[in-house]
Amino acid sequence: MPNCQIKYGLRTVNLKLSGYGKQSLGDFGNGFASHCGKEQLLYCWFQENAETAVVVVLFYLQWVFVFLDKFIRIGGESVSRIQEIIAQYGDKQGGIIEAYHAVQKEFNYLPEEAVIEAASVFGVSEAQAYGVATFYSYLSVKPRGKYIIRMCESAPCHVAGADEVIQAIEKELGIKVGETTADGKFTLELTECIGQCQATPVITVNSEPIFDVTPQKVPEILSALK
Amino acid sequence: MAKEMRVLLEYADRIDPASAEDYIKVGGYKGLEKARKMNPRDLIQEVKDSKLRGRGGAGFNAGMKWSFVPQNVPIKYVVCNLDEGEPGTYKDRIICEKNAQALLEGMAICGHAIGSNQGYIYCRGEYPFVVDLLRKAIDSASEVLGDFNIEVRMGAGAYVCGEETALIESIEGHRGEPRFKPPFPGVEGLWQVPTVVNNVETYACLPYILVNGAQWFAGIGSSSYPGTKVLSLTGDVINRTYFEVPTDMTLREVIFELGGGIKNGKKFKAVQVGGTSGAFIPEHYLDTKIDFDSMGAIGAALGSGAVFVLDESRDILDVATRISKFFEHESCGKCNPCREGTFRSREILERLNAGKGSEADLDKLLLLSKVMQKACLCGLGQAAPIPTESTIKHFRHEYLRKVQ
Repeated sequence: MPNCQIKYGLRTVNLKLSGYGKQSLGDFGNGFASHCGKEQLLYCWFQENAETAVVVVLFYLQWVFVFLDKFIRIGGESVSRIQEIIAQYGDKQGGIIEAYHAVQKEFNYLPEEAVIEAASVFGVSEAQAYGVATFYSYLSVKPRGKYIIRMCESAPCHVAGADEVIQAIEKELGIKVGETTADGKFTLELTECIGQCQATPVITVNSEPIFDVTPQKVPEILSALK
Repeated sequence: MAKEMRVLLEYADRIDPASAEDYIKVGGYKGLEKARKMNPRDLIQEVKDSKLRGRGGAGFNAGMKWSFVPQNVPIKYVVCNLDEGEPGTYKDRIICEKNAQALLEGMAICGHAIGSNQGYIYCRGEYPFVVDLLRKAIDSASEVLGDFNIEVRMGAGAYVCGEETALIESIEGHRGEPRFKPPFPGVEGLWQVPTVVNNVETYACLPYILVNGAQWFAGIGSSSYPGTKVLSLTGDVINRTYFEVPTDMTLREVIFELGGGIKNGKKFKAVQVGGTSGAFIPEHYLDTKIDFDSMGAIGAALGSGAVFVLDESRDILDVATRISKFFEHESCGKCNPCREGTFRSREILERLNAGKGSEADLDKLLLLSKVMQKACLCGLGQAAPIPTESTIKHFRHEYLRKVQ
């Protein structure tokens, strides 16, 4: 196979496997190292296959970016903190949900690292750990705000005027259901019954219920959180 | 005048639910003491004689359930279902907040009956404060519970986890999807060992049965479903609160006497009993007793004991549409009839509610309802079409008003 194409993102690079390149890339290190110095060899190879080299460099660079991105987002310390939290539940059979709750208590959501770490600690595949993280409505794999506001939309709250309350909250915060405010303070979610139907409609702020909410009370409730 | 009969909630707000000492002062843990002196077989017989039936919704005889657990297995579990996700229900929360120790005592009694020393309470994620309360209560009762351990596990917001096998899956740390039955949990439950799963209220009844005797309990309320039932009232009723009543009370007494009638001087239109999966009951059935079998006879269910009252101004079709959305959201997706059925029901109901449906849609809904009740894997899918079916049956005129 003298020529081949590598698709990298949006670009396509034609790889001409001539000269040294006639060998497959895997053989490159062994086959020629015997009769010339490694530096020399690398230099020659880069000269001949500049495009390939760019691809290789970019390929590794992307992992650097991925790493940096995560580092900036949740910070290196946080990763070890996540490991620390999950480790506390390690010997609890089936304790993955408890561990997720504990991570969420600090981070308000489940960072990717938490899912990966939980998978290894509880001996399940990452897919399974992710499956658990996305099955339950109180777990979230997307970043959320400091205050998670949940509006109950089950039938008892529905007839008591939940729709008007949700409109008032959306207007006050300037976001729609499922969104987070730009300052990262509020996330608005819908929830099913939270078992406080003696005082409908009900909202919760970080699981703390607030009773008999009316659209008029919304600004006051939210400003108390700011 | 209909009166409450408080057994489980007799000392509500008069004792600290977290304190075993307070509970012992008012006669607590006597039932466990008595049970531990009994032979497990006699204990199960005693519970059978009391005719105690599951308070979670299915109404299965509790003693019978325990008797299915094989004796010669070393490890068994007692699991308490505190995942009351049924909209309009808050009675398990009330029982925990008022009398948590009775629940712990009941679980320990069950532990002695089936030969288990490990209990789990699966509390829904919406009640983190109840989890804290229960953990305190367990600490406080550690001495009297002796070698019976109880661990509290918290769910994370999934209605389907109220189904016993889904609940078991969730405790095991999996997605809360129901299992195929059989094997039933009594034979193969949590971590593949025999497990008894009962509702909070069922366990909390046990201490009182042991102390006062099976005959006493069997003599309260209706004979086929004896005892008391904690009801939670919601909707357009004046007293939106909880009541503990004997099971032979009628719906009319519950709504108009205890509940104080309809708010703002309006008239009654319908009541949904047993939470969102229950049937809507029109006025001419209000003299039905609330017990399991009487409710079943009119095509309704006592279920969790939620009483959701609608006044004359409410739009039944709008409420039914909202309920169908709930089931679409909560369907776990494991079985086809439920996943697709709840989706299509919601679609058709939204169309009808927007005034764009036709009369043929009602027939489609009824057919879909039949299929789902027969073919769905668990109670969620089987019960999901009941609100729609019952409203079409009793309030067809309201549907037709919005049909083109």
